[in-house]
Amino acid sequence: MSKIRLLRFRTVQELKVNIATNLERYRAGNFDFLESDSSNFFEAKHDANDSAFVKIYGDKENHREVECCVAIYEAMGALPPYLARDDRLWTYLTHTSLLNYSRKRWPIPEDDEAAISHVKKHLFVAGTRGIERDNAASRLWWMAALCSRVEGLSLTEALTAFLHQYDVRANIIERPTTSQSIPVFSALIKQLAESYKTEEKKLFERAKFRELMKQLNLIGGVKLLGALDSEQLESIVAECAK
Amino acid sequence: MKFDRNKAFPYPVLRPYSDDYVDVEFQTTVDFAISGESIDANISFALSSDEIHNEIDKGNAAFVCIVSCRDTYFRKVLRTDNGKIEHQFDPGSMRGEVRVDPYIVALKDIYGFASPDINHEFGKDAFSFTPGDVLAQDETQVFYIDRDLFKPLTSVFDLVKSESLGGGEWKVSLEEDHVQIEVSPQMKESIDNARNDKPKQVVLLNSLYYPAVIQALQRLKENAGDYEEKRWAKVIKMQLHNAGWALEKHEPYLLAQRLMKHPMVILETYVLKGKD
Repeated sequence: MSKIRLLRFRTVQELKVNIATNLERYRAGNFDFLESDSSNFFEAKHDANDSAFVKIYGDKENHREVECCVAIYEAMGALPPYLARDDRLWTYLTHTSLLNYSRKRWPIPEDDEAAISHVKKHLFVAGTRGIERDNAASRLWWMAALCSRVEGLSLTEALTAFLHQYDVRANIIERPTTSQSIPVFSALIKQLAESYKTEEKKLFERAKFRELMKQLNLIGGVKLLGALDSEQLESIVAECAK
Repeated sequence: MKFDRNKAFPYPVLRPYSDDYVDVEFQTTVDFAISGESIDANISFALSSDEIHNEIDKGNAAFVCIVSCRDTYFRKVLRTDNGKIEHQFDPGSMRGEVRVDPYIVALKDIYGFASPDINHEFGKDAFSFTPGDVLAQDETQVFYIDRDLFKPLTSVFDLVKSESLGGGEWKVSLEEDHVQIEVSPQMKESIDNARNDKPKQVVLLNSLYYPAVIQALQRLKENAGDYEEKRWAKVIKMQLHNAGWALEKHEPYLLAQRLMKHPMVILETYVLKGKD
């Protein structure tokens, strides 16, 4: 175990400014100086289980998304969301313990211009949704954190259903009323998990899932879903999924 | 369910900018106080519709507030039947924009609801509601939560030495993420030596930091766009927004006193009255 580290704001700024000059480091080198020089980082009071980082591996063909999400949640634990929203934490990881994973999972393009944009997107946190969608490390933690809130399913079961289809995941995560509300999110993931067990996996079909979300949106337009209990919500979601 | 003044419900909903009801109102006051290491919410609901009140009294409906934060996927549903909610939030659960959406919501099936205040365009028939249906809705209120808001405003002000300054002259620079108060090297040393002395700190707060805060507010008032990305500007704007003080409507010297929690009071306590 060791304390979770965050890069200093100044260090993040310097790294961002120097992406072009550091491209070879990003492609094949390392940023070991970030770990060895304590002026580059500070420690949070939370512990990280470093041994779990070795379970985070994958490449362009074999993403191992579910396994990697479980492993990062094992490594970082249930961080306070305030801290998990801090780009300095994830930028430290993508430049140190998860540098190799990041460049294998998101191979850096050969063209330098494209490489700079790519590094900004996957090794830093860019834009308002970059932390949950693009950063190689933070996206894994946030998907695991969301799925850890599903009542009645294990983390692996919930992640398997959530990550099975990109379109389904994007549809859920881009609707804050669905992903923020634990009972609504849980009801939806449970429906997906049921469908995942079947041979047809019908609910993962683009048109079918979009229709479910459309129906849920229509009901949510006049009914305050957040004020309903889990049982009522599960019954509404099941009805929409028919 | 977002507040949308153009939205049409299939039944009357008491809400601002709507004439579904006439002569009655539903208003919510939300106060978010960030102090020490906690976030305290005080929410009061004011409702002048006797018929909706009756449904709340019978347990068929309730005042509901949804507090949500998109950045942290936080969502808390608070419910009451007495018109007041006090709740303490974990400061680790929210970051950035926090939205508060107030409603009155049916908890049980309600049959035969009628009110003389419902716009007669709805006709004379009574209405039925099922659990989750919204009887009243107020506008969304927005607050900002940030670690720097738990600290004194001066935490985004840095005292730095400038070789080009001599004597007692000092300058304020607003081009960095923190406001830079530049003093001569000799002055910097004197100020650093005074750090552990409370009365001296209080004097510094009133003589150096207070005018620096005024300067930052003045420049923000005149050229907000120039400082949009600066951390100090974001912190000041969030503090002003949360307190409901509009920069364009108040003099910077007054806002500076409020943001700094009236530094003259501690000057009076520690220096003028000489408390140890």
